[in-house]
Amino acid sequence: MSAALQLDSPHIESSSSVTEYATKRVRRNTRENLRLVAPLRVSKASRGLFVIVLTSILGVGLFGMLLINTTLAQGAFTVSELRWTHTQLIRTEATLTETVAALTGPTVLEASARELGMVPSPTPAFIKIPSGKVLGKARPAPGVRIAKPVELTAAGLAQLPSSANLPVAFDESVDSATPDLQGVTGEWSDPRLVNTPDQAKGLTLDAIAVE
Amino acid sequence: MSPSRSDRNFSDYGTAPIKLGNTRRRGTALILVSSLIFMIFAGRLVDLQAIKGSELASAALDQRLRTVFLPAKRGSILDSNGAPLAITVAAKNVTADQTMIAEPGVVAQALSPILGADADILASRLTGERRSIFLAKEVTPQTWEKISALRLPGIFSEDTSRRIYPSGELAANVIGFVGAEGTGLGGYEFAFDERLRGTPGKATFERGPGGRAIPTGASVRVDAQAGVDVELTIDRDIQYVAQKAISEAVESAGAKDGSVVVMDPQSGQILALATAPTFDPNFATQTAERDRNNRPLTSIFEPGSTSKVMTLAAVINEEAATPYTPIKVPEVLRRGDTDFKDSTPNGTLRLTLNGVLAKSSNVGTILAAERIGGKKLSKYLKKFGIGQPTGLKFPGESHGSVPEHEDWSPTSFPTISFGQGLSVNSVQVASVYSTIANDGLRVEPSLVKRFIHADGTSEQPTAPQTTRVVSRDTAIQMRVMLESVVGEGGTATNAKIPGYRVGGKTGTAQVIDARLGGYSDEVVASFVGMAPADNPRLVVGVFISEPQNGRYGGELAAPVFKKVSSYALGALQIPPTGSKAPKLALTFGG
Repeated sequence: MSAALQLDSPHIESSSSVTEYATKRVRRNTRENLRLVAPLRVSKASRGLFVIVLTSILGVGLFGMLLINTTLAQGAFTVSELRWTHTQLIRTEATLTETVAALTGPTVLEASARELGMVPSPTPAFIKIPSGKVLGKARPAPGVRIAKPVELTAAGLAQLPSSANLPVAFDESVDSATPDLQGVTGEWSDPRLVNTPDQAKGLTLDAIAVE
Repeated sequence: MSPSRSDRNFSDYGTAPIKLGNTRRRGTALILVSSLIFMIFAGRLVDLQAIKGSELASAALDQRLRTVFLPAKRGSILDSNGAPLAITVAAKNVTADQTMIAEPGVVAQALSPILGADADILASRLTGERRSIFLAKEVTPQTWEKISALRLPGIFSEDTSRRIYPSGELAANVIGFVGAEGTGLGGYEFAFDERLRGTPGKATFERGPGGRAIPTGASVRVDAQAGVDVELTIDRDIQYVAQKAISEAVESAGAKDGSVVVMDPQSGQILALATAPTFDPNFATQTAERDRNNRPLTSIFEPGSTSKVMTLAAVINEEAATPYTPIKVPEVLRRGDTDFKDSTPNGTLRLTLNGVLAKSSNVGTILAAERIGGKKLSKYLKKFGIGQPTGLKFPGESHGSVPEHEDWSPTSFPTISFGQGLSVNSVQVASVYSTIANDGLRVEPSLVKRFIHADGTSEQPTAPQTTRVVSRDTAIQMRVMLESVVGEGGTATNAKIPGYRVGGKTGTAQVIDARLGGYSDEVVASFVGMAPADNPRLVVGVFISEPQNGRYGGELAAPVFKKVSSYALGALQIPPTGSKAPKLALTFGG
């Protein structure tokens, strides 16, 4: 206002005009009468809430940190445990690998086979299936029978590939000319091969050859 | 507060004046001292943080960091069906801290039965001031568990690995062996060491006081790269039968040593490569060094009569003769300054070329060879692979030699024509027969089927070279002639396999004695054959060196051939062809 007064002052000549001007100004800016108003509702709870919010943020943060740390520590423990299990499993694997490798080796296999009374086939011979033609000279395996022979059944035969050569060694006295094995049902019944346990003597079946 | 006022105040009491420090000076001093201390601190701070900062931080990290080397698993050596011949398994080294052991005797007594070691020796290793000493190396994990269960103070273990050869001696000559540090020292363990070894990795991590890794800490892990598996062409079962047969033959003949080579002529793959006596690679260092050799490749000898196949194949291939060509064979043939004879003097023989081979006539072979001359013979020998590397790249391989044609003396040509005066290894001889078996096309022998990388991908070795040596017709004629050797009147009737057509050739070659500077009485008895002769799928060479009981290839080597071939034909499911061998005349009328 004083600035306005100063600005205006060059144009104001007399003191009365100054008063007049001031009065006018005051009148123009007349405020409303002061009156009592109801006190503002300052909520006491609001500060409490603020504290709770802050505390809970802090709490959640701390708890979260704790949780993460615990989880990580737990993870570290799990890793340790799993590593230990891993080591154990490696050990077991080592043992088993070694055992299996040794047991499947031909040296052990031959010894086990001989224990069962098996002997190496002296000359290879094959049965052609289904014609039953014998390829090669089948001869009885040398040695003495000590175990009961396994009976060949048609069910077992059915599992063979349809066209297969069956290495076999059997008694030379048996006619080795083309036995007819087609249409065999039920028990294996070719008398020239396996019928009675006695005739099964010396029969060694060790592989199936697919042509 | 002014100094004058305080002076006045105190002196007014009339007591002895108390000497008071100059407060301003003190203040100044205090400030100076504080500043100095502060400056020292600040300086130190700058020093620690700015100047030495990174260095110290890394030193601190180093204290927490731990680097563990991750050993790479050594690749396995497998047979052609993937069966293990050499594998690496986890193992433990047992160590002791001598300072922690109060009663070595008691501890030794407890460990002795588990480690299978002498208690006294163990006790001496447990006594002393050493913080770490090996008690046992490469024991099985179970053995360590038994020891660990005893809870003996001062007994520790460290992780290691162990190379095991599950089938012991089986194919040991090919596989080789490893030394104490697990590096290959012989055979393919040595030749492929770099591939088998793999690349070790390492893990670096920050660890807490308990030794466990700090989860959020720095960690770098470079995984170990497992070694490459080497799959050989060796068939474990055929190898076993071959090895057993040659061991028995060497023993019964009282021979110095023996070898067997089993080949697939079409692929050139060696299915078995056996020698006797051999060694157990699980205890390699405890065996004689000469028995660790892969003799079929490292020993050379003069092939003798088995070499006649090359001479006669060359003669037929050059169309200088046919199997029916009659050759009048005198008892003695003088060439240069030497009289050449057959091993059994029979007077003058009237043999066909076929008969020359079947009766293994030296004189007949010389006469046949003279139809083509030395230069051509020399060329054929080279094409058959004589004096050339086998291509197997086996460590210590000796590929023998054949003198250059220009250097031949007047006796060289007749001598070389029947297999003396040149040296070969067993695989080379087997390869000659494989060439005949494979219709005259030589396929370089191979022992490695493939390499299997840790990620499961397989890598084929370089394909074997193939060379046309003789024509298909020549090869077929040679095979029929080789059948005559095994047939009636031939030298190798012991090689007959009932039901199969078999062809082959015996050899009884004299051995050069370096001390005598000439041939000794010792021989290499051999037989190399193939089956089925009309469509060969299998070539087997048997070589018995310096036999004492028996002498001839037909009596010593042929039965081994029969045993090995019979098994291999069954195992490889090769049925007989069912055809009949043509009967070729051995002699001609007159």
